[in-house]
Amino acid sequence: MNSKQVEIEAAEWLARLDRDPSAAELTAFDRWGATDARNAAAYARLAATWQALDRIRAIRPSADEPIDNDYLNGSLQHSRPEPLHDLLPAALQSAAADSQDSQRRPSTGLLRDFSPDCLHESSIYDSQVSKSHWPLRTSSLLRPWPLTSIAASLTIAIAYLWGMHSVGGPITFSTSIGGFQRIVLEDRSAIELNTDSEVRVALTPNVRRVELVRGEAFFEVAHDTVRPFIVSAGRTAVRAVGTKFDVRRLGNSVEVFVDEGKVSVGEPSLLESQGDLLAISIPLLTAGQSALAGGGGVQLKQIPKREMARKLAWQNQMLEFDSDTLADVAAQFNRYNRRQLVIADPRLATLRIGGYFRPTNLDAFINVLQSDFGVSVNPDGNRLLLVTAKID
Amino acid sequence: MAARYPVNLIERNTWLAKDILVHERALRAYLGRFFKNVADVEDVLQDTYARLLSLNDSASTAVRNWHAFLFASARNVALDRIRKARVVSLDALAEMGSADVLDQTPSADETLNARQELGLLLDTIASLPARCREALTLRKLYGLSQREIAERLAISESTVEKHVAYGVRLCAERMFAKRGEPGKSDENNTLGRKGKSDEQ
Repeated sequence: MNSKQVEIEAAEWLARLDRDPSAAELTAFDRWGATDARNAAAYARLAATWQALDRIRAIRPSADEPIDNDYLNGSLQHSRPEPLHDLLPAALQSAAADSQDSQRRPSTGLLRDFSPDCLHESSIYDSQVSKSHWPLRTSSLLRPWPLTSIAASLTIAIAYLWGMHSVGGPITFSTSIGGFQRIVLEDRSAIELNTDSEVRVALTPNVRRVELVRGEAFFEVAHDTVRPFIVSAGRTAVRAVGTKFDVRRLGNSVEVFVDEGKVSVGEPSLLESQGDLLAISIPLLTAGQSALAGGGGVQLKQIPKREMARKLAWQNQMLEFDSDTLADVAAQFNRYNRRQLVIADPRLATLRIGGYFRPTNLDAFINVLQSDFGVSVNPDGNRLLLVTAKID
Repeated sequence: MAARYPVNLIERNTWLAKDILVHERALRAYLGRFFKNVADVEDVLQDTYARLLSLNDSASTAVRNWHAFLFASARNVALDRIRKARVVSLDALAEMGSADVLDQTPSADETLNARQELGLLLDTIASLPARCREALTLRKLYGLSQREIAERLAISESTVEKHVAYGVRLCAERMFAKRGEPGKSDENNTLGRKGKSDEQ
């Protein structure tokens, strides 16, 4: 029997076992697998493929929303977090282009999206804006934003703070647990609020002040040398002129990391002062660096690009892990959900997890824990107790 | 890079997909330099996977680098085949015997991060023929059983089963294999791979 026929048989077995196989069928399957090592190998390859496909559940916002016909029609990639041409290996792209040329394959969204100047995120973005009642001065400042049927159902507000400095007092923005909000300020700076976060914004002629009251926020600061942008979080402040950075409050300390440009980190009173003093006395963070401030000191650290992208995955309302411990992963999910993951078996704390998840879709993650990592999940009120599954 | 050898079936599948099958495209390209006939490449791959999966525990825990081990195994399988059979020229045999398989380091294309992996899965599903795609989306995204899918799409259960069988093969091909023509027998396919060296 040639390898193609072996593969076809293996696929038939997989489809049959995916139903409710009878005892007789299982026996026959065992016999088939034992006949030839190549049978077992072909089956294992397809079974691995089949299991990997379970990961697409990560794109569902929750486990109980109704079936979306767009998905069935092949519009899965509208939920994608990144432009398609960044996602696929070049070889695959050209392969797709080949098949398009020869019209051999069904034309799908996949092929459409390979056009070199693909702007589909922007067009989706535009359609969202037209639904919004907020006036927009410009869209050039805004990154292409993968707004989708899923994302649109989340809280995404585009606020415009007209003449805020003339109004006076600061304006407060906040998100609840699992929430997300993007705010565009009058100076065209943008703030993105992660789950359970709050900022107070006050723009004055001399300084742009934001207080991070709780949670985490990402700042895209519009360049303005005469009006520094100062973010304070407890006893730590960050000062920028034009840059992109993230600030997160963690108990008594504050974590800052810089995606683009430079910022100064220090005590609020110091950063408020003007002049050259800043340059010598205050730690300066550049792109790719992070600072952990608290307990009277500031620790600087270099962050690899990949890790930076992971830390900022929340901007796409996603969480990305790569060999992170279950303890860290659970802590991340717990920021976004009222139901809290609790590691009841200490052996699990160091289990390494990788993957890309929607933080509000806790059920999808639980599925993966159960199916891929041998973890059992026992609900207990608002808590989900994680224990090692018994191996059968 | 997870190099630990898996103990249970689910872990084994995860390991197979992440540490072995991701290299399949590169491995096919490598083997394609020595075999003109695609069916030969398919045979060597299947034999190679069979060898990998039948390793005993002590042998497999000794493997530090699965990528290198995979290519070395494939080369051994290929050499066996070449010695026994008639399919390749002596030049190819010489080349294969001398080529340093450890030079075949994984390229950036092969190692996908979690986000790229999700993108690839979504694209694969989206690229399936319509009915097949509907069935697999309902099965994998929504977790419907084959019976529920049959009811929803108003088709027979055996048709759903056929969609699943066909779909999983296409998915494996699109996710891991070099793209070929689905459904067409490779029996008489004498497509020369040497002319396609630009893929390497």
